[in-house]
Amino acid sequence: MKSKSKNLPVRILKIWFDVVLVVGGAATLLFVVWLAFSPFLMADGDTPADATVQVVVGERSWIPVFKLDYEQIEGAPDLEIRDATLVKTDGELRFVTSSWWLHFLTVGEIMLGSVIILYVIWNLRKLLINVLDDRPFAAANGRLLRRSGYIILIAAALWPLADYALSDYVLSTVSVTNIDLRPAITLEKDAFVVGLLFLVFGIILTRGHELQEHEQELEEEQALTI
Amino acid sequence: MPIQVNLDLMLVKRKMSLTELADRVGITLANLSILNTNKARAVRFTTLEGLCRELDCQPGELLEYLEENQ
Repeated sequence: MKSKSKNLPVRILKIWFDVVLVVGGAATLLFVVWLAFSPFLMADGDTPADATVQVVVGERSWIPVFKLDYEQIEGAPDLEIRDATLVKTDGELRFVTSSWWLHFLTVGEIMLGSVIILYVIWNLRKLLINVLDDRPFAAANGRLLRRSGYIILIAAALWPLADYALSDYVLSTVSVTNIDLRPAITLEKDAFVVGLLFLVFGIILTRGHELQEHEQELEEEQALTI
Repeated sequence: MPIQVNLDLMLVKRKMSLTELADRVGITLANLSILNTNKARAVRFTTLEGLCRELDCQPGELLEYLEENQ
């Protein structure tokens, strides 16, 4: 009992996922290949590349704080300012480097992030195919959502740690005069929420599948009750 | 299924056809065939009552428990 009109939004979404997978996958591949090989293509043989590390200015605490010297605040007497503090000074330290490993680390990070996003979209696409086949509560659907949720949560947990480790390494090697830079942990809050939502919906679909199977068994038993 | 329905035997004894029994009991021939071929998962008391009434027998004569390896 298929209803094509009712499935129209699902069909449109599936087509959109198809396009994202093909275009996104190809673009990511091209971009990563280009990034990876760009140093070799440069005429002067140099390997400049952008690298970014997450930093926080000042003392690391729940609210980062950077105390300013009174002398640093020009015009302070006009407003009778006696003291000033920079707060929430999270940011990114972006620099151009010739370091090979930093360059490939950047490429690897982009590639890994893209692979995770494409994998999640691939799973959602498979889920939509099941919905189009009138099997919204297929056992695979809950599994696909839960698997995506776990991967998003793992990535959301490990990404800041990897960023922190890199920032820590870079800042232990270089320093910026007059600015107290420290490695920052930037929590991927949105990814955590998305991962949890995937998990919750995955559990709901799995439970739906179990109930549907139970219902089918009852129906079968009912049909064979004389 | 270890429960065997001995409907064939009773029908032979009573010289009755499956169609006639279905009509008398008030169930479809298809359902009676399911029962006769031991594909039924459950039997309603009302059906059993009808079968016993029309075949003039006890439930124990219709149903038999067999061991799995038999």
